[in-house]
Amino acid sequence: MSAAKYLYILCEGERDEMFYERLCERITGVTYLKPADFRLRRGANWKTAMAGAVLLVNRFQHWPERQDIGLINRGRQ
Amino acid sequence: MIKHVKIRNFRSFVEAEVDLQPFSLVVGANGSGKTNFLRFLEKSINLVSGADPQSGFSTWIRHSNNHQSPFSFELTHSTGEKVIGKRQAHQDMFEFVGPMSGGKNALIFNLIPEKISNPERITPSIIVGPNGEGTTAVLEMLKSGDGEDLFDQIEVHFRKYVPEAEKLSLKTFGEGTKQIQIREKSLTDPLPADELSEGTRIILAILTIIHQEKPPSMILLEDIDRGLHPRLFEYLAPLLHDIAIRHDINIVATTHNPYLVDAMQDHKDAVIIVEKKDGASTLSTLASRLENLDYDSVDPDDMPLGQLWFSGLVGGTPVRISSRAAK
Repeated sequence: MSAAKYLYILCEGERDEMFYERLCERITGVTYLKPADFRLRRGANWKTAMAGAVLLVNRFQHWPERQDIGLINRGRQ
Repeated sequence: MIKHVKIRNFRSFVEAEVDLQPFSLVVGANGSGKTNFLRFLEKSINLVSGADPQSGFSTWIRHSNNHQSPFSFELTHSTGEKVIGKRQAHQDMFEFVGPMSGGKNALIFNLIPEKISNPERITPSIIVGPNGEGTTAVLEMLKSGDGEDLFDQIEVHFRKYVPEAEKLSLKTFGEGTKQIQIREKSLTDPLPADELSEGTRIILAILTIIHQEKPPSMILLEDIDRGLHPRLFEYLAPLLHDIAIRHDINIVATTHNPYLVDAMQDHKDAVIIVEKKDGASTLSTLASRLENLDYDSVDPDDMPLGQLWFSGLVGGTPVRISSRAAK
């Protein structure tokens, strides 16, 4: 049995979250567990999104068990 | 001033401890235990000082499996003195170990605008009450007694928050009864307090509470952002901090407003995050949560503290609320 895969999405709302979740599932063919919601305030700029992504990765790095992390970044518009 | 508190088995708390600062801001989701934390502070300090008659015990002790759990607490003062209070499940009285601090008291303020603006009978040695009652009487006592400098300070700060206000005064309403009134720049006649906005009344009450001649040694403010413009907190937070230091007291306020958290950029250890884990409330400071995020690795302008708290990266946010059907 393979280990559970977790998906963390940092976005502005539930609709965006649903879109990115489905997108990840379609691209990878994997169903994920989503243990936490992370949100940006509406209208937050890309710098805030990037800072949020950095902090999210920092958080993973402090987890006691080593995990492989894949990061998908929508990038600057 | 209390520097550190430890709680065991009080309402939603099983075991928790946290450092307090002169001014501490408490954040967390609804139902996380913020109000219970304020109640704990009020109860424990008043128990230690003898100001609380130890009544209502059954409503604030934690119950599990129909058994009362033994409630205990520790309060550590900035001087290093520590007092421990404990009450076993079936004992009638508290046991205290450590110096009892007589004269200390704590009060939760849950301000109600109508209570602040109602005409009041002026009686000596009055204090502002839990809902803001007594604000008029305290202002009158300050103005007509030895505390005119404090009344002037309240007026100066009030004019900063409400620039339209020109003069704060008290109108005689009946025999021995007064009501707050405000003279505004654009109006001929002064406005009685009951015609002021809710936010204006609340800010006036907060200013009066903290400028009283003998403020409580622990001022506990519920939902400090109610009716307060988020920008004003940039001025209010340092004022609360300065006053707490000047009087050697603690001021603890709760909020749900991320803009208020933004104003604590230089006092990250003064933001207390309350959250529930496995049904029990926990306490931690924002500063301790930032250690696991390496917050220094990003520009704080890109990720202000309020945004960070709102994001959920440091906890203290609601559990998932979803309108989506389960997969």
